[in-house]
Amino acid sequence: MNLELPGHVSVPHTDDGGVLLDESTGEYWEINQSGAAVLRMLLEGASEQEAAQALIADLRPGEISPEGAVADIRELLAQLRAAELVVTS
Amino acid sequence: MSTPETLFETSASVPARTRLAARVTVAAALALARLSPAHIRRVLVVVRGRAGPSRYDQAQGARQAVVAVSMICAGQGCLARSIATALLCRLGGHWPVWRVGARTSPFGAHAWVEAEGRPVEEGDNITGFRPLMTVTPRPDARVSRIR
Repeated sequence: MNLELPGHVSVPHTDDGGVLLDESTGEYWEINQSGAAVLRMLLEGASEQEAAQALIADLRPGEISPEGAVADIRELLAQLRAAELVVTS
Repeated sequence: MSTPETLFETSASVPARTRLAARVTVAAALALARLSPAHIRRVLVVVRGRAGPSRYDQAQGARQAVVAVSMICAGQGCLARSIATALLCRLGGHWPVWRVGARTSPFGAHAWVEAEGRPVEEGDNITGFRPLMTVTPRPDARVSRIR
């Protein structure tokens, strides 16, 4: 599974999260720091498991379980897909 | 945001011919600003054509003329202002870096122009905005020099 941004979506990498702009509609979507980091990893070809491990490493010990991290990442992807901000090739 | 006082002051310092050109570009910019970002970008790339980069003072002069003739561009209309400024630069044969960007915490979106690597007539707040869309001058062009 290769995750990609469609041609009409642009993302800046910000220190405290990110904003996605849908250039076809003019809508802006805010994504928080963890979400932006996960999205960046997935776009670079990381698996959900790898992104989950990175997410856990960034948080305080015990703050999130491995299952919880994967569930969060799937939820994020579902939201991004629903908003047509990412496509799978 | 500009006050009416500074608006009139700026207006008096802009030559009549430049004001007329600025009114034309403001009208075009207000129409363009209603389109989708992708559509605006496509139009600006075509309009830019082979234009090389604006000097800072050229872009600054264009922005001041635009702000002098338009209340919307003098106020919160950053998209129309940035487009009108770029179009007015193009009438002068050059093109600034046109940008749309956003910041987080708190969320904000903004449009502006840059020349000689600096945002033109923007406050310190501009540093928080990261570019999302950019229309640069023709990549292989060089800055034109005053003879």
